[in-house]
Amino acid sequence: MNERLVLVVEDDRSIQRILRDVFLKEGFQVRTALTGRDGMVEAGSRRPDFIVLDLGLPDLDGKEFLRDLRQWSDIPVLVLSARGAEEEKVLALDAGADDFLVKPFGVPELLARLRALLRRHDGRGSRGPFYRFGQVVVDIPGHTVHRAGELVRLTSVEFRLLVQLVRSEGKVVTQRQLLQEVWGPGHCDQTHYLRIYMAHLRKKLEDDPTRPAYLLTETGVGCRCLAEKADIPHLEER
Amino acid sequence: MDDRPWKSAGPWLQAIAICVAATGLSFLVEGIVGASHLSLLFLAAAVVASAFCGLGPGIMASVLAVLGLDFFFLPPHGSFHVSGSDFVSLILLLAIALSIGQLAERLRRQAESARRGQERAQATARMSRDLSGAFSVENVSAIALAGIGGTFGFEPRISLDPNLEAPRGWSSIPLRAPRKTRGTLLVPSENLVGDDREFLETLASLTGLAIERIHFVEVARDALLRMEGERLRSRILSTLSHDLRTPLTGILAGVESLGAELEVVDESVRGKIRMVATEVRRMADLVGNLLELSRLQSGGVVLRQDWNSVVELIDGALRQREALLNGREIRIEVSEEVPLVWCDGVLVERVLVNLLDNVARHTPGESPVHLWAEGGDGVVRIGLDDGGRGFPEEGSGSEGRSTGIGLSLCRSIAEVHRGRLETGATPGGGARAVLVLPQDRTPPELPEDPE
Repeated sequence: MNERLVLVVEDDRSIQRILRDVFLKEGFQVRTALTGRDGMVEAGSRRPDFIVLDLGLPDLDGKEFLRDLRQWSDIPVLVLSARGAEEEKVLALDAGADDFLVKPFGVPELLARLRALLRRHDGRGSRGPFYRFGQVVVDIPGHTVHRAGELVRLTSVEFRLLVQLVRSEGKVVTQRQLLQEVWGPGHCDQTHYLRIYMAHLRKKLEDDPTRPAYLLTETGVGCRCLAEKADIPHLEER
Repeated sequence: MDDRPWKSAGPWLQAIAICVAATGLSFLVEGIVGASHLSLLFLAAAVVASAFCGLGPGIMASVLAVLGLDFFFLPPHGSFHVSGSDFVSLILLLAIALSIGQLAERLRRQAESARRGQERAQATARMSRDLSGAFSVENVSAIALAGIGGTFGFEPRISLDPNLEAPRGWSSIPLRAPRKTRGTLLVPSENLVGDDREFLETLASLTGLAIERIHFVEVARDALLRMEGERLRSRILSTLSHDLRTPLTGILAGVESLGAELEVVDESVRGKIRMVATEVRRMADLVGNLLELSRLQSGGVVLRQDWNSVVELIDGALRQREALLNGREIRIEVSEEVPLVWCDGVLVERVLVNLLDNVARHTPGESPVHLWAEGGDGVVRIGLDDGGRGFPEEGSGSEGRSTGIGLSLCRSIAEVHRGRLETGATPGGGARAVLVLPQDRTPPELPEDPE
């Protein structure tokens, strides 16, 4: 990660300074903007590798920023938001944010999110056919799922849901997005589908379905699966 | 009242006068036109009397005219005796006079009713114009009273009670409006004649309509005010939330990066930095709880309800408090029968987080936590047991555990879900908190899904 450029769009100067110091210390280059409009200009002229965006900007709604940005760029964006503002998070994610962090956040947490996003972004474009999490390997073209080398039988809906989740590689997918992709646009408010099928997947793929390690639900926002692309999926197969 | 017989005697006297005048005129012209043409003069007298004096005087004038003609001018003069041909013309004269009188009477009635109709239409139009400018119920009833009183010449009364019993001598007419009856109009019964009642009903429903319009204007204005109030409140709360959290974010990030920058080796300094970070997070939670509590208690909260799985809510809460519960034995028991819960998942998860905070703060570091859920009897019960000392008795003050903002928020969240939070002791002497949520709907069927 040599000389990556991070753009911090945050209206609070002291947080901006601390973030700047943290990123500089990690070996990033940093640009900062205090307003959404300046941020837009910086993003357009500097082409950063990563944007940290506060949702509480004075001049511009974070969602508008994201919508504008997404018209011409797929730079990963991490949004900072207040706890309890789940609705806002969902809107930001639907508008194109890649992940969110709740204020106040710890530095290690921030850096971990940032690295995960950059890793995912680097691998983008080559949307893999195979994904892995824990002992589970998902073979999308082959329509098969193996857990610890054993074939797991999934229904077609379970498989479609799992594919949506693993493809996002740890990114939160909002309930609306999942319902729309898996069940169709007419089912966006049938949240019970999601609850029931997430339970099915956990039962079949997690070691402890009550304390899942990979198939996680962000209450009020959506779901995520901590999956990664896999190169040689059939290695463990007997 | 005294002048009424006099008034009603007037037309009769007029009719008699007309007949006398016709007789006098006939004496004057008798020599010129000849007796046989005088009948036309008497006919004219009868017609004039019929046209102007009303039906009864008209008939009387017709009879008088026939008798006068016969007595004074038909041979033999000075007697009522008539010859055959004269008799026929007298009967004809009487018949013509009577039928013209009838026609004149009918015309008069029609003209009268047209005039009344026009008057009423004007009164209705005037009243509805005045009512459309009314801005209060008092205003409406004043306009209606003046309008009805002016048209009818008596003093009506208006009450906003739609089921009012009319006192003796009064008739009640409902103030009917499209949605419901808005009150009662009282009028003296003796003044109600003919189609007055129908007309009054029209005016009454006009009044009812105006009252209803004002009612809906008030409803709309209240709704608008409430909405404005809510919007303002929610904007203040979210600004407050942002403003309070921003410095905390700065402190936390600052302290943590400070620790990393100084490359502190001294364990006691590192411990202090960790402590500051922990306390800042606690402060942030406190602020969050406080803001959420004031949002819930200010009323008018919109719950973001959808289907939630108890297992996911428990797991979500535990993940939020992973660091805090580090090293404890956590047991989760959720029976298969516990259905999905229709609730605001974020708020219910917050209840569990606050209960976990309570456990972490008030029990020894190694004591276990037991989370469970059961369904049945129209409710879902989500419980948390610990190995601590239990909740204090009501009113026992600050002894034992603090039941501060966190638990108040839990109670408020339970209440907005029409549920409750029960606190008590486990059989083993630990504390038990149970969130009871009503379960009054079941999730719809799932579509077919082949393997």
